[in-house]
Amino acid sequence: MIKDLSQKQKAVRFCVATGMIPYMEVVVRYVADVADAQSDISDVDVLGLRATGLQPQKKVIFDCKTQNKVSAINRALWATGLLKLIGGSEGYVILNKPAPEGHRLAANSLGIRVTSEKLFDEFGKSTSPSYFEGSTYLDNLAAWEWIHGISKANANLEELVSFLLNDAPLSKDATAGFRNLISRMRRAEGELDAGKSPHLTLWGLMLCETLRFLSEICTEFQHIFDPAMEKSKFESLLRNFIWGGKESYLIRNKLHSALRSNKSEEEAGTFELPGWPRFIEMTRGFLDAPHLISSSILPLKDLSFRLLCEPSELADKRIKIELTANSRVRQFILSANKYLGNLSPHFRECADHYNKIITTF
Amino acid sequence: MKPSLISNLHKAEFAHDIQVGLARKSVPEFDQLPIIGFAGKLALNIRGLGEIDGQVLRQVADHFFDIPAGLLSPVLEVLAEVEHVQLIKEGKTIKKVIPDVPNFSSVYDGLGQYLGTITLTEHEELAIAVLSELKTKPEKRDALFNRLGAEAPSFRRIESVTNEGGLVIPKRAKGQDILISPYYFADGFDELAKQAASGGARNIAKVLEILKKAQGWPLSLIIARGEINGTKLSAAEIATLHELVADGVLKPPSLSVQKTGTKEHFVFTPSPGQGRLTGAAREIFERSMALVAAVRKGQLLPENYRVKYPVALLSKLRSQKWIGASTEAAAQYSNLVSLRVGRLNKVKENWYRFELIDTPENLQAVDNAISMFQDGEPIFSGVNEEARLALQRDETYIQSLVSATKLRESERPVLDAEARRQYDQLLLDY
Repeated sequence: MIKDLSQKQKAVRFCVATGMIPYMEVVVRYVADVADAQSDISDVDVLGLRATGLQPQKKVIFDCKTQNKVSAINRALWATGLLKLIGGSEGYVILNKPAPEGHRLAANSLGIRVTSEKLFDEFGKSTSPSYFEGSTYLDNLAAWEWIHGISKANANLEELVSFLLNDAPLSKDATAGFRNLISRMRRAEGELDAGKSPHLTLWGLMLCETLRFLSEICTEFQHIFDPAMEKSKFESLLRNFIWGGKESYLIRNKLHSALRSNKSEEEAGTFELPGWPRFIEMTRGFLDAPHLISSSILPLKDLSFRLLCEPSELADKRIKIELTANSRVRQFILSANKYLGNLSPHFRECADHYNKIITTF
Repeated sequence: MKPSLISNLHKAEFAHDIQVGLARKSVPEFDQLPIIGFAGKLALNIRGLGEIDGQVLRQVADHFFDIPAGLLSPVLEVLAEVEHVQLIKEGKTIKKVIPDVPNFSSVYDGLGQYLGTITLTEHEELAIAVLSELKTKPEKRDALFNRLGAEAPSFRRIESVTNEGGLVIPKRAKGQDILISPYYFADGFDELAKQAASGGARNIAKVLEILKKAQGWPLSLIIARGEINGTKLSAAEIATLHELVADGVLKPPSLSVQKTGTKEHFVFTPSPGQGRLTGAAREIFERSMALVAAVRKGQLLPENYRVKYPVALLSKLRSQKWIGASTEAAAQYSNLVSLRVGRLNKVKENWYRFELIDTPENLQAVDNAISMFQDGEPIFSGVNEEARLALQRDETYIQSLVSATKLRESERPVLDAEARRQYDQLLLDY
């Protein structure tokens, strides 16, 4: 059950208005947990991610509190710690009433903006017309509840859903994050049902995370990329890059060969990322404009939530503007959709559905 | 007509060549071929671009690629079928085109596969077969006609169509009709025709094929050893090569060898014709040949020290823009200085460092030279940069380009009264 609803909706709308990708109720875990059972540390009410473009990725947290159990500065101090733990750069603590000026200034010096719901509202309105109610589907709490609830209906999807909602946005290594995403998708491939709207929304979220990871991967890879590069050179560089370095790839390849020969399979072949030939083409295409990959994520996430909501004219208009904001938005979405769709026959229906949405919306 | 042995991929490539030649000429006998040809041309030019506005594409395609607006839709549908584009439509109108042309495989792969699913007309098959034969050599008309086993009216029609499109020209030599493709051979048509008439067509094809694998090989070495890079040539083939050089069909750049005091010629396959290489590209091609010749000299006829890895040397020139000083440099690179590819800087007595003049044309020339070592031919991207720029702008940009061209066409110098009088006088006196 999501609490402090109105504040969270406003935080989500603020994210959308300022071009950040919103995530709700993100569970924070410590990756190096040593216990047998992983324990949750805390949660972020709303997390906003500005995907990598010309600037590196930025994480912003929103802490929404309607009750006054803890003082403003204490909330700010807690938020500072959380920010540090997840590698965020800015935080907002939204309270019912304004905090004393001293608390606000002290918090500000730590990168935490302590504000009241009313002041936050004013601030939001002044940033962009997209802050107004009805301009996004992402503030629809029922839709968020549906997605959070998918794993309750099908436990086999729990790992994938949890990754998309919690681990992916907090992942600090884009290449590892991307590999984890593909691995989880493959594990859940037989569970996806394109006939169910929440599952289609889930597909949209997979696409969004793929694009977000690739926005970071491609902007970094661009520094070693030359458009005149031949396929063999490009392929070798990309392979080593995506596996976190040559050494890391070689170890995996050796393990792969050893496992295969142990199972007495005749031809082990080389170890590759699933859908490798298509991945090479997709990445090469993205490298024509790597800084624009990030612009495709927000309208896509909104479109995937639209499947669970009543259509809104205002939101549709905004999404249309963002989909045509530059010549790469739809192209990159379609390209990533084609790559993921070809990974398994189980994915094809979802990919076809999105292909239709993007080309007809 | 006999069944064709040409692969679908090559058919798609020839479709492109035919369409470049024919440009706007409509051939009623051709059905799918122009569409495949246009599709290849368009795919090459939109590779790597973002979403394109349908209206802009219509105008750019008409202005730069000679694709009539009415044919653009079927062309795009073919590209969509081979998954090189995605189309965003409103009703039947194509509003946006989203390119998805693969970067690391030929655009003709997909189009070739598409060709495999359709049936070409007899005339289309014949046009491809004729061009395929004439790509590597000139040919006697009657021999070609018999070999292809075509119907006489169809063959005559294809002759006339390809002739009008500047793809094939007929020549008379030794009382025989010879067909040559100016698309693949730039000049020396009479000499080529003469060779073909004397039954040398096969020899020409063989010599050019071997030469393609060893561009810029020194002529004296070929004659002395009777081979090109390890491939033996027969006496007749060497005689053919000799004549091709003497007649100016192969125009070899020359460099002087100090040791022997002689001028050495470096042999290349003929320059591609106007359809493939125009204006500035031709000059770049000449520079590439000079670069290859210079490196070949160092590799095969060094004064003292041999160039061991030609491609590595050129790649170094490409990346660091100079080649380390040596005593060989002056003799080796002097041609490149006169072609404005680079400068020779004296480091000490007899030691010169070759420095590339860093312009896009020279970089392209180095890339071409590397490609000539590796693939036997320079890089023909077939990409029109001006068109690509127009595709990324809005409609007003292409409209201004189109109207500027129209203005150029209508601006004919008008003779003033005095000039007209003198002109008339001249005609009367003649």
